[in-house]
Amino acid sequence: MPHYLLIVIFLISIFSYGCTNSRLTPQADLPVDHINIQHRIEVANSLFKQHDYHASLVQWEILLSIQPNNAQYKNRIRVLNALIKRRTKVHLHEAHKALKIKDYQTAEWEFLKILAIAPGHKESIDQLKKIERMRAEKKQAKKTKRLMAKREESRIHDIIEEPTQEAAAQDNQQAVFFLEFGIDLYNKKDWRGTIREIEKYLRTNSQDKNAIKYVTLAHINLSTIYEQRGHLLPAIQHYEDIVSLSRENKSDYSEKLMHLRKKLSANYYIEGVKIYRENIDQAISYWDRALKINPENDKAAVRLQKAKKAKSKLSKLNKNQPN
Amino acid sequence: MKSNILNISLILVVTSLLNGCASLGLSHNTSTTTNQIKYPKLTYAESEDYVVLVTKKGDSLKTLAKHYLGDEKLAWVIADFNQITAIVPRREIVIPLKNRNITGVSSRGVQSIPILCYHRFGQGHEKLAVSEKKFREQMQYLKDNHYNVIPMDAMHDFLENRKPLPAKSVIITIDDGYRSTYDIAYPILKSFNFPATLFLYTDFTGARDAVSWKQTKIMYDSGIIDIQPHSKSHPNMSLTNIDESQKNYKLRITDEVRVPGKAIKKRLKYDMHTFAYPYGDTNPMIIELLKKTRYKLGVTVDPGSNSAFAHPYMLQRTMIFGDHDLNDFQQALTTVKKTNFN
Repeated sequence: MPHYLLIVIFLISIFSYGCTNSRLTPQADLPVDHINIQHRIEVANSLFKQHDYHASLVQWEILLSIQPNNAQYKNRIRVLNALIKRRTKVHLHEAHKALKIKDYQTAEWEFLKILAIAPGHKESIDQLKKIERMRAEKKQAKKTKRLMAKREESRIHDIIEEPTQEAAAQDNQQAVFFLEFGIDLYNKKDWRGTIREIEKYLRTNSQDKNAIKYVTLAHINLSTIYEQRGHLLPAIQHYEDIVSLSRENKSDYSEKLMHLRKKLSANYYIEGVKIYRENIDQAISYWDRALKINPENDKAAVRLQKAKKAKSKLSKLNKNQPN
Repeated sequence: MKSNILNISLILVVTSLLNGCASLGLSHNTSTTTNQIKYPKLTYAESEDYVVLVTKKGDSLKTLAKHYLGDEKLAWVIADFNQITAIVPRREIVIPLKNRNITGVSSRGVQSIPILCYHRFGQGHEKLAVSEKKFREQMQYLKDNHYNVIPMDAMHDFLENRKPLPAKSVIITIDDGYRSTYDIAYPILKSFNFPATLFLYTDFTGARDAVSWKQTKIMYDSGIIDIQPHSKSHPNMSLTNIDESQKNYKLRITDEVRVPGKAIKKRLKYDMHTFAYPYGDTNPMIIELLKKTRYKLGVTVDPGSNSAFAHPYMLQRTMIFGDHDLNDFQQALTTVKKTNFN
C-alpha cells in the first residue's frame, strides 16, 4: 500500500479516535492502581500532532508491549515507520544538496532532523562527525596561525602589545608561577629546568635581579659540570648566556668566558698539531675552529697560514703530476 | 484515479469501523461502556523492548535498574526515560530494555556534555584559583540539580556511539596538578562522590606548589581522581620554537607526549586515555602522535560542551575561574543544545 494512503488512514484514525474518546482524562503524575493505557494513547496522539514522530512511535511501541495483540497499535507503528522513512528521505536529499554547495550549516541541520526521528541513522551520524571535525580543525588552524603571526610580529619588531588589564593580570600570575617553579627546580638541582622555567618568567620581567641570579647560578653549575667532563663548547655556551643576562659581575663572567675560550682554542690547536702529518684538511679545520673560538690564538693563526700554503703547494704539484 | 478514490473511501469506512469497534468493546480483551473504552487493569507488562509497571513501596531507581537492567549504575536510564529523579510508589513507569538513541539527538535538542576545567583552589591566586567555598557551592549545585558527574573515559564510548550517557552529564577536570587539588578539591569531590580527572605536567609534579607523587597515588587509589597527562613541561605544543627545524620540533613534541605518560604509568601502573594540551592548543601532527601513542581523547580549553559528533581529540572544555559566580557556573553547564526540529 502506498505511504500516503497509510498516512491518510492514520490521520483519519486519530481524528475519529478523538471524536469517540473525547472524555480521555489527561493523567499527570498521580497515584495509579494499574497501567493507564488510555493516557498513554492520548500522549502518543498528542506527540504525533506536534510532529514528534519518534516520540510518538515510542509511545505506540510501549502500548504494544502492554497489549501485544492490539492491531490498532501495530497499524499506527507501521504508519509512523513509513512516515519517518519518507521524512528521512526528504531530509537526506536536502542534506546532500547542501553538502554539494558546501553549505555545512544547512547540511548539519538536515542530518540532525533525521536523527531526531530516526536516532540510529548511520549516514547522518557519520556526516555530522565529519562536519564537526572539519569545523574544529579549521578553528584550531586559524588560532595557531594567529599565534604564530603574533609571535613573529613581536620577534621582528620587538613590539609588546599593550595587554588588557585582565590579560596582564593573568600573564603576571602565570609568570610568577614560572619563577616559583624555577626556584623549586633550582633547589632540587635541576639546572636545566631552572633555566627553562625562569626564562619564561624573564620574558615579561626581564629586569628582575633575583630571577636573573637563579638563572645565572644554574648556568654556572651546568657550565662547571661540562667543564669537568671536558665538554668545553657547551660550557662556553652557558657562560655566553650568563654574560648576556647579567647586570652585575659582568667582567668576572667575561673573564671566565675568555678563560674557557682560550682553553678550548688551545685544545683545538693541539688536536691540529697531532693530526697535521696524517690529514692536513682536518688539521686546518681544527686550527680554523681554534681561531674562531679565540681570535688571539697566534700559534693557531701561524699554523693555519702555513698549512693552507702547504696545501696549496701540494695541490699545484698534484695538478702538474703526469697521469 | 478512480481506484484510488475507492481505496480511500474503503479505508475511511474500515478505519471508522475499527474505531467504532474499539468503542463498542470488540477489541482485544476489553469490556465496554457507551462512551469510553475499557482497558485491562494491568500492573505489569513486558516485551523485548520495554517493561511497564506500577511502582511499589520500596522500589527505587537503583533496585529497578539492578533487577531489570542488571546494573544499579544504570538507574539514570529509568530516570531519564521517565523524566523523574526518584521513584514514588504507585506511579506508572517504563523501563526501556534497549537504548536506541545513542547520539542523544531528539526533538528536544542535541545532548551535549560539558567538561569543566579547573586549575587552582583556595585564596590569593586571582583568576585561576577557585575558593574552597565556591568550589563546594558549585559541587552542591550539581548535586541539587541532579547532574550526573561522569568520568572522562566514559566520553570515549559516547563518541564512538557505543554507549549513551545520562541526559545531564558533566565531566570535571583539573589541570597542572597544584597542591591545592589535593588539599582542597579532592576532599570535596570525595564527599560528593564525584569523579574527576587530574591532568599533570610531570616536570611540575613534586615541586613546592605541586602535588607529590605520593599524594597523586592516594587520590588515584581512592577511585575518585583519575590521573592523565598534560605534557612534560607545559609548552604551547602547537608552536615551533623560533628557528627550530621540523625534525627537532617533532622530537620535542614526542617527548612532551610520551614522557608524562611513561612517568604516570610507572607510578600508577595503568594506561592513559586522555591528553590535555597545554594552553588547549593542538595541531594535526600532535593528534597523529596521540593516536599512535594510543590516547583516545584530547582536550582543549575552547569553551563549550560536546555532542556525540565532537572531534575526540579536540574536545571543548570550559574554564571555571575564581571570579565566576553561580550564574556563570550554570552557563557552563549546557547539557542540551536546544533546537526545534519539528
